[in-house]
Amino acid sequence: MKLKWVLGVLLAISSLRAYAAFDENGRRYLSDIDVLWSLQSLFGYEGLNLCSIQIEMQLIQRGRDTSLGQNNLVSGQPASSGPTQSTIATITTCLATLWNEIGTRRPLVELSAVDLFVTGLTEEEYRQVLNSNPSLRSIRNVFWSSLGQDLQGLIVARHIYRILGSDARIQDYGIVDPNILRTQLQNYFAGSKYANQSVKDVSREIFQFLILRDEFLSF
Amino acid sequence: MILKTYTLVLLLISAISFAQVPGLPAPETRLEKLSRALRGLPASMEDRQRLKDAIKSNSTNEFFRTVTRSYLGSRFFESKLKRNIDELYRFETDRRHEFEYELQGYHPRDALSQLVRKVIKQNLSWDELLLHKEYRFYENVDRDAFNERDSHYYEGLVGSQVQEETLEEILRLSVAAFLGGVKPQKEVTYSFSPEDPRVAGLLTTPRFLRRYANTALNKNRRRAAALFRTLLCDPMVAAIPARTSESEKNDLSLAFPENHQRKLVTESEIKEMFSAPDLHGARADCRACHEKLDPVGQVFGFSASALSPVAAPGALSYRSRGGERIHIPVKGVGELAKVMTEQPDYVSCQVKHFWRWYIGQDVPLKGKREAELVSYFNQVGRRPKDFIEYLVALPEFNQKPQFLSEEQILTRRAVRLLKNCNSCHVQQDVMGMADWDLADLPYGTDPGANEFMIDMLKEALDTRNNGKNREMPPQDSGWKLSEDDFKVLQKWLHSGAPDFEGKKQVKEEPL
Repeated sequence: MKLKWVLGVLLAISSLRAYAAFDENGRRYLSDIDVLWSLQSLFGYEGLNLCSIQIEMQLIQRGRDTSLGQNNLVSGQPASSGPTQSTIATITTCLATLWNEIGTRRPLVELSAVDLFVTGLTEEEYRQVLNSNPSLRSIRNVFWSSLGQDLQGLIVARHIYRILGSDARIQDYGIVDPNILRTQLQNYFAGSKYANQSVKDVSREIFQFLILRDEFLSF
Repeated sequence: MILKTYTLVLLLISAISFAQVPGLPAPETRLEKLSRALRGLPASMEDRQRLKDAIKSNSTNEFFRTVTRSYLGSRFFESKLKRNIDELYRFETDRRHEFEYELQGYHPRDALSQLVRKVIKQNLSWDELLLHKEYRFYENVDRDAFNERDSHYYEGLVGSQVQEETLEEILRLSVAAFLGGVKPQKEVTYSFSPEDPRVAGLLTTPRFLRRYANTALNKNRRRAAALFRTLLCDPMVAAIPARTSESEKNDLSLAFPENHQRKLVTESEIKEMFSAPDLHGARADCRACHEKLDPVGQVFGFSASALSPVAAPGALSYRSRGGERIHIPVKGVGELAKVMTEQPDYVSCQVKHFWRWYIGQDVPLKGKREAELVSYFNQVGRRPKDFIEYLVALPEFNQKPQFLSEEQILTRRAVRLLKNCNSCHVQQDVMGMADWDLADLPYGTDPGANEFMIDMLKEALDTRNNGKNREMPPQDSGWKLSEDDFKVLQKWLHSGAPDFEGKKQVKEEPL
């Protein structure tokens, strides 16, 4: 478990190639509150009332403002010139808070809405998946490995589009080719250690990987 | 094996095709940038779809015009710009309240937030932040909060208008609040005449006064320094004389005569302390700041915890960017704000703030471009939304996200440090360097002059001897050069002092 977390952090650090709001270098970074709202906006699908968790998000953020690039009020300068481990810890803790909200604290949210959010599929695609396997009532709790490569690839692609944007935008950043990003992510999560994890858990890992990338945090 | 080779080939193709190509961004990139810059949020899936439709129907320009205006009208834009202003004035943003405001539509409680929101929402002139004369805020009406009420700040000005609520009123507000699930609050509004010299927009709000608290020793100088920093872009780096234990004791005795060492200071002792050679204020570089700070500080009168009922006269006194000595006596803080907004340096400084927020502080703004922007800012009546709409349509905004070269990053770091030098050398004209803005690159068109100036910096910092005998910044400057900062400047100077584009101004001089 610890190893997985360390790997996640390493992956994230390698994607944060530039200095954050903190210290610009040709691009702007989202401010501390913007990061939280951007995360919330990803989760803002119909039926999920975000007000109940906003206080929790603030508590996570309290005392960590500077880790997300806020200026020191006395000096008017950011506390560090770039993102640190604390930045990653803050963002991932917020993600965990939001993720726990899905289908647990809000049981009234339609289950299909949760499935659609977790997979990024359209309603039509989702219905097709269920129709192809009549015993399946929901796909978020099935093993990731049971989905098949095509469906895994589609889910990865949908998350990339939702979080980072279109291929054209990813290309404009010039950090990675969108095709390679998709292939590498799909291959990474096809590994044996994810075989027995649920679709929901793997989706969360994909989210975590993507929201720590420059393409999400900067503009 | 085949898979590995395939991945390697893909990586190679990627490396070749993703060499940095300057140019226009894809429309999708532009939309995301617009949304993040104006609202702080990624573009919604609906907006992305609308863009796709617009590209198909060849109406991309129309789409961007519409979407920009829609973002400028959103509460997220309002909130983001307000947070920029908070950061500019170094106010702490009430995060909990920001969330409540955005998600549940609560109104801002304090007078300053109300004022700033009003200016943004109604797209009033940017000057209204300083010139507005109406204050509205919401106060908790429970008795416990009575001593913390903002209305006490205005008590001296409005007199009998400040009233404690009757029990019936408290009961009525409490019931209404209980039903609405909020704290019992009442709305308070105070309006003053447009010519009233005692009030000046956000400068006479409790939040501003609390943020820059006044003391007997400070005499409103913190407030004055905040104005110079935010309104005239004067960095205000303090020059504080080196202290000895004796001089520190003197200062403490002057500031807290009854507390320090439990003894009162006599008049003759005070005279003796003032004649001490290292007393702050006795030196030329101290005076250079105090000549600006003291007359501006005077307009705040004795407003430690409430506004003064009478206007306190003072003056706006400083050296303009053009080197001209400005000294304009004013009747009070209201008049000071008005005079301030009439200064060309104020307009240019405000334009720079907008530039920093929407284009970026690492993109240089100077000369003709700055003049064009100042002219447009005035042309649109200094209305923020109109000006921001113009800024986000500029080519400087519509650039592909890019990574700068190492030289460019080094230059930007060096320039940020050199801006501290300007506080004395340009603003105060120490050593007759008022015409040389150390942050404005390249330093000149003449290679000989460039070499001379850069050599002067190398000598002042003693970069050739790793700074062993460096003269700058002086030991008693308020700004200390850390070892890392010194290395940045040393590396920049010896690698040919490249300009913002990474072009070397002089030949490299290996260490």
